[in-house]
Amino acid sequence: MRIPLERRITEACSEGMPLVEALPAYRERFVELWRGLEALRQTGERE
Amino acid sequence: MIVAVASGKGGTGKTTVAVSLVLSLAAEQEFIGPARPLFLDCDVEEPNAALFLRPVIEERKEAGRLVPEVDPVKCTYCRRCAEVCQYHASAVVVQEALVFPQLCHACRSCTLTCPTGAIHEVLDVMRTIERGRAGPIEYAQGTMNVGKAMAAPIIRQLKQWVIPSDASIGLGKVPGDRPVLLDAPPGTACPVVETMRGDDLCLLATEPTHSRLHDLRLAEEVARGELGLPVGMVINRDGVGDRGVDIYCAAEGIPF
Repeated sequence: MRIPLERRITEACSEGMPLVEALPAYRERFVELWRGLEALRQTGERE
Repeated sequence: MIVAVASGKGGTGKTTVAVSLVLSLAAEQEFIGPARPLFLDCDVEEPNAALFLRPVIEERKEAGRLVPEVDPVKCTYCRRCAEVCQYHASAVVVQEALVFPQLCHACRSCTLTCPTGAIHEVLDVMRTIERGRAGPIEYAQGTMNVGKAMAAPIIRQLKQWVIPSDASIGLGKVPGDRPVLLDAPPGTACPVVETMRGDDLCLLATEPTHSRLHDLRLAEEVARGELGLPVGMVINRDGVGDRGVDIYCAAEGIPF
């Protein structure tokens, strides 16, 4: 996953607002990230 | 699944990633009830995830470690305690046994090997560990008292306190569908190792710059090389720096 250098993200973080509250579209990407981690874990266990 | 979000360097976005991840999972219907996400802020020297998650703390307790105290009546000044201490926390000078609590790692070697039983242990209160809720998220953090060193024992106690043990799958392990996210301290020293120890996976957050890449290598070496954890990667502030992190991850087989 890549989080771009973006002024809106930086401003939200500096105000104590989580990234996914400032930009809700990221929620889905973070859930996808979790799915990827689950798959990575299973791959790791097999290795 | 227990995931540590770490990096070799401070300020790369560990907390941003960890908080965003747990909030995103908390919004998913499947993570309710016993599978609700658990978040631990293991950066006990400077916990800051609470700024974003705004948890309501429900339980708080003082925690510490046992440090040796010498009974001068029973002590024969044999120096055995000083010999066994790997951290030079004990010394005998003429006829006085000294203990330096700041150096003590609470390994109990001196207590166990003292031939006259002159050493007993006293609790050195070092920190507060807390747990509560941030909406559907279970939250926990540790905070060190001012002037106290050694974060690793706090992290260990915090994990033991809040990560439920399931005898069927092993101590400190959780059912596979429950997300447990650990926001690791910066660096690659003992507190980071303690945060990663026993976890299922390490997610590294970095920025695509040369200096971050240097520290990223160290973190990857600890997570994968020393602890044998699968490692994933998130690039934060993508667009600055160069392609060094991409090239490194491709060469090492680290997925984004």
